[in-house]
Amino acid sequence: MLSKLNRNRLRFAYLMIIPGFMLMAVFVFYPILYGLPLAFTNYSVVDEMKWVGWKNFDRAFKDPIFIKSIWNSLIYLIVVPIIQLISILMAILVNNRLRGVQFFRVAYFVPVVTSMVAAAIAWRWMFQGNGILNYLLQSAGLIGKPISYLAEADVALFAIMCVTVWKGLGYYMMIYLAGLQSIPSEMQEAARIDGAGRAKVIWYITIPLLKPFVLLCSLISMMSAIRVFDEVYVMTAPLPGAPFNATMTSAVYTYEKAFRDFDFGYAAALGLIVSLIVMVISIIMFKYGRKGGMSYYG
Amino acid sequence: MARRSRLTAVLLAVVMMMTMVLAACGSNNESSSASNSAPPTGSAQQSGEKSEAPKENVQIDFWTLSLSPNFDDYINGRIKKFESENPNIKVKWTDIPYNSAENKLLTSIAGGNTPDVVNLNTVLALTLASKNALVDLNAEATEEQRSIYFEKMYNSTALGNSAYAFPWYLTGAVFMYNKKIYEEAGLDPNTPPKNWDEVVQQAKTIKEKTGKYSFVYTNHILADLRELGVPILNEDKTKVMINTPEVLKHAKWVKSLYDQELIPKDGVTGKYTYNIDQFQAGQMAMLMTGPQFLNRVKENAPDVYKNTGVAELPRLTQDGDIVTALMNVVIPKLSDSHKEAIAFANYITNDESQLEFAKVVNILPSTKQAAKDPFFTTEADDPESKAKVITAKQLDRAYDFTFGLNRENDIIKAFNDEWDKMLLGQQTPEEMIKAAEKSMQEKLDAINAEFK
Amino acid sequence: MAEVQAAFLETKSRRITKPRSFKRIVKPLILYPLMIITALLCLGPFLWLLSTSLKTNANVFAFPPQFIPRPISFNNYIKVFEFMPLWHHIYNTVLISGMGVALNLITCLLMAYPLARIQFPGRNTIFVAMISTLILPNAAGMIVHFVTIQKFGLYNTYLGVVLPAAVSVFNVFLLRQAFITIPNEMEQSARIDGAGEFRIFWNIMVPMVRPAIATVVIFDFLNFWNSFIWPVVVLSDKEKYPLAPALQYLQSDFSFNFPYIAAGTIISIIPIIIVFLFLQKQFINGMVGAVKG
Repeated sequence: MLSKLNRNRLRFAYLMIIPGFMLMAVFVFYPILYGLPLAFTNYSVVDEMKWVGWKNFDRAFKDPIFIKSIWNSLIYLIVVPIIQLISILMAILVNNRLRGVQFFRVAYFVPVVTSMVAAAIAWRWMFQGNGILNYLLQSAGLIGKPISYLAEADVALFAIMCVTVWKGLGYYMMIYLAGLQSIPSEMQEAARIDGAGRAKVIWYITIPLLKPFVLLCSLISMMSAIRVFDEVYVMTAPLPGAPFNATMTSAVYTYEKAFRDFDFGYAAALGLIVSLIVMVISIIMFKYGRKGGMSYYG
Repeated sequence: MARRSRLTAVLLAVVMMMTMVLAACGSNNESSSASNSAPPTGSAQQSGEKSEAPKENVQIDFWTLSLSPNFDDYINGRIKKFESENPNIKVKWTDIPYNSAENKLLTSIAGGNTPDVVNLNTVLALTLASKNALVDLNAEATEEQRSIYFEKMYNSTALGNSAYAFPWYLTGAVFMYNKKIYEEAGLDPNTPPKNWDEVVQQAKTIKEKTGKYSFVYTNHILADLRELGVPILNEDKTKVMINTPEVLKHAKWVKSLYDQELIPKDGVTGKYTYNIDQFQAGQMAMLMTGPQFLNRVKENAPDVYKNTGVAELPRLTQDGDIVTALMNVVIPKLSDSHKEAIAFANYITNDESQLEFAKVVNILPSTKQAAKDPFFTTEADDPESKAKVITAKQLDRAYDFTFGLNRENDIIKAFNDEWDKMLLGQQTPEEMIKAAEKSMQEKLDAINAEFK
Repeated sequence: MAEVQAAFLETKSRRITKPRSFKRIVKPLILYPLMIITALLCLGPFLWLLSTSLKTNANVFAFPPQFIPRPISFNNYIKVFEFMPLWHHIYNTVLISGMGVALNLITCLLMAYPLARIQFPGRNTIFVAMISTLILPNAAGMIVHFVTIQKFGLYNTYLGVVLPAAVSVFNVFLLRQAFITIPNEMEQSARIDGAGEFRIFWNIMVPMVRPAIATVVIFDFLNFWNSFIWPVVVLSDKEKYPLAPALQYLQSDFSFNFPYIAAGTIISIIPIIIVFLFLQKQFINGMVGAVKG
């Protein structure tokens, strides 16, 4: 038997949950549930819909551009460790009490809030054959001939990754900054007194203590990296994935299929395949992360 | 706790699967009801007949792409005039930013909130037409309504015996060049090139003397090939035919322009956007594209604009057709007043409307009478008006490249990908032709299998 | 609790910067250049936009570029305001963002609290369902949302713009995490004082998670402020558009003017930076709460 208090609490709990849950049911759960079976149809919005069974999946596994886009999405995961490393260093840099440090924190956050369209215009300009990047690298004697970063098939994807890294650093820096401020400073102090150098303290004390934050950030950035869309779309306009699909990522391809070709059934199938991949990677990361004895959710 | 949540997860998965199946059935029903409301060709004609007697108080939803706020006065003026001539029809105009157009259109159709008249480019119009979503104007518009347009343009959106759009405005292409760079290179700034040999010759001189690039090859390659007499597809559109000496020659020629470093690699991906940016920066000598971009140069780089010369675009052959980017208006099948929608679509693209539009902005009309107006032969001294006169002369040869196939963009993209691969040195012209032929044939077979 | 934490941070950092004269001189000497270089890298494109927006009638694409505009002119800003009713669009954006953030905050707070602190049947199910939405695809999301909004009769209304984003799984997680970390004693003592469930929630618990709320507000504000496709889909009157879609009109072929685009972009970024400046400290504490739990 439930006590009166408990019954009260239960009623209260359900009352609280209801508004959010209803909204979630309509705008989060329902679209997903509605979208899943579309993968087995030729849904195109404008035309009659037919059940096509596994045809879309067959087509996907034989679609060289889709396979290429999956590879590119996986390659894109390179940004995950890079972002973590740089943003941790940035967080350490601004985790001090010097005058004006607030200003720098905000400055580092500016790329996060800058619209992608504006950022792309600036970055494309820098990446051009006669752009400022080549100018700097050539004056420094690092490269001989100018590189057309966005036209060379072997370089373009990495050039776009730079934009992702640039735009993401501030966001993750904030999370790591939060992490740093939650670490009791006694440990670092003690190590310092024991004569450990600054770099050693960072590497052996600070970063291990940040581990929960690293796992959280890695998960977030992994999920957004594998579904990267904005950067690729605006940096390669007017031909998404240019040159010749060398920068085509799965999200861009899915979008193209849905909204350019009105091939929603196929797009839904592609989305499902990508989700499976994301799920596998998430599970691996969680298993690996848990090994260190950390837990997040509750 | 851990075991319980695992159990819940399994349960949840089962529930989800069940809901999926249910949702699937539900969505099936929904779609069939949606397709009921989407009249197949037969019933569409019926509704056309039904509305012989003028309906009362019809509202037409009219969508345009990125024309506001520049042309608010013009569009509103035309709408007002149309409404005063057709008191039973009200027109509601919505202008959509270009980048959100596809999203808005698709969601609106799905939501049963279909617009009646929509401004679309040819590619999107054809994609929709191939999905059976547009009104066939050959069947529902009158001969009188269809006859005002240049035939080549009207046929740009033809599939089989049907045509799905009224052509609206278009922009020709001109040769623009930076006279200052010409002078720096020791070239005569008053003798622009007359043919491609001269373009290449001048580009070489400019590269040697100033180190600057001259142009980006922005031509529509398949259109090039057609101009050179390559059939591309056989008569009944079942076989790709690009393995010809002409294609090889053209491919080798364009590639040689890159190999001699007369064209920057950035141009392969950046296309005309890159060309315009560089031209504005005074870093590129030539710009071969629509004259509407002159306005952009004028705003962003007034000093370059002052030194810009305009001439006729050099052609690969002397009498070939000219590819242009065409804007159309279409009527979605789901519109509930086809007749009124067609009337308005025809009105906004008629001679009077287009002539007035051309006087507001640097575009060309797609109708025969408007093009004859002396406005298009009167030349002032500024680059923009010179460009107008030059491009207006090409109107009867202008068309938008199409195969007249469903989902033909797949084929075009397959070709362009292989072509770009060649330009960036990943394959030889010979390999390009083989790869492109194979990949295009695959797409063509898939299309023919689906639509026959 | 937040106060305790702040006080803790206070003493901690004081200890770190305990004046040792050597450290006092050398540390800034190393740190400032590093911070400035990083800031320049981060701000580069933004500064370039700013400088472009302040240039007048010059060639903005000139190479090598002119970094500091001479003379500085606000002409482009004035012109953008003349080109479109920008104040009106800003007003719309503030309205939409305000409404969206408020709605989202309320629903997420209400939902997160029981998920964090009350054991009720179905809790784990809701929780697992929520996690799975982070992974499953949402290919038809926009279309389904539109059909729903239309059925609700919300086409061409602001409520239609904000409702699909009025609850967010990520925010519920974040707030739930914050609620979990609140010690039980607080709740118990309030209960002994005779406070009802809702009063405990509203008067005691919600103030405790203020940092997490700041985080939610910043992220949400950012999303609503920058969204440009969905408002166009839902709204049919251009007069109702928020800033982001309206600014797209600056990029059409017929009116492409880069200094205007730059000015418009700067105008659209500044409010976010201001919100961030105000909430920065809370934001950082919020992230601590979210992960530490």
